[in-house]
Amino acid sequence: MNFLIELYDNSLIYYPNVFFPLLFLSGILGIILMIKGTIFLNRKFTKIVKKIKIKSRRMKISTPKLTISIFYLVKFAWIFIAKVNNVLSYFELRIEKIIAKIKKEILID
Amino acid sequence: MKKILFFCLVLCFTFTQNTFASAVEYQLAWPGMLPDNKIYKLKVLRNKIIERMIIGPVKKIEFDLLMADKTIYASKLLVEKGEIDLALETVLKGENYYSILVQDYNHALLQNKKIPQELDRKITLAVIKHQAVFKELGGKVDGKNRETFQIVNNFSKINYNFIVGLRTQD
Repeated sequence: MNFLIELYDNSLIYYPNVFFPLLFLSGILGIILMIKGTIFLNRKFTKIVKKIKIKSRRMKISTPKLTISIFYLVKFAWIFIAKVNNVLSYFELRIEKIIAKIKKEILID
Repeated sequence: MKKILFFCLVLCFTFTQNTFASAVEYQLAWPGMLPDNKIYKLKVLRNKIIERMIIGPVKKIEFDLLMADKTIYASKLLVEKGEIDLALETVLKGENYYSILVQDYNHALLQNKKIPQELDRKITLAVIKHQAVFKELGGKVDGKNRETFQIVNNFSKINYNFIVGLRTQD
């Protein structure tokens, strides 16, 4: 570190006409590199964003499948409820018949 | 073989003589653009920016010394060009850089930073050289201008005495 500081001081004191143009050029180079870096990072970022967008599209495509499956689930549930309803209505009818029989017997008696 | 040995001896002698000469003499740094230039203000601005950007306290001292050397040399060149008023202004600024050096020297010592021996030697040699330049320039101008150079010379002595005081304290 001390060596670097000494080198910097010496170049500043004894070679200012070399030091300042170099500083100026390195400054310009730094700005150019910064712009290039920003462009590069921007491209990378857009690529990543595109990938995420594609992934999200895939997700969107897969959602109808999901809706279909939900549809079938709902349909199956509907059928199941209907079947249960049928069974219940069958038992209801039988119970009604039994009650009717019992009423007749009571009335006869 | 003898010739080669002789050549080597001569070479060694010249090199050692050169190093000895450079150790005694102190060369002021070339100022480059002079204050009479239109874009000199830009250079001053650049120097102010550099002053703020330096991290190491010891390097700050080095920078102050370099700036003092350059400014005093610039004033010498301006006197040679005949621009006395600007030279006087510049020489005062040069000595002001040396005053800043003294402050930075003090700050560095307060931060427990060790001043390298080579830099200490340079600071001393620079003062001698600066005072020689002030005397030389004082001889080239006359009247009130000479007085200004003498005042700057006295400033230089005060600054150096301050540095000697700091060294003895340390």
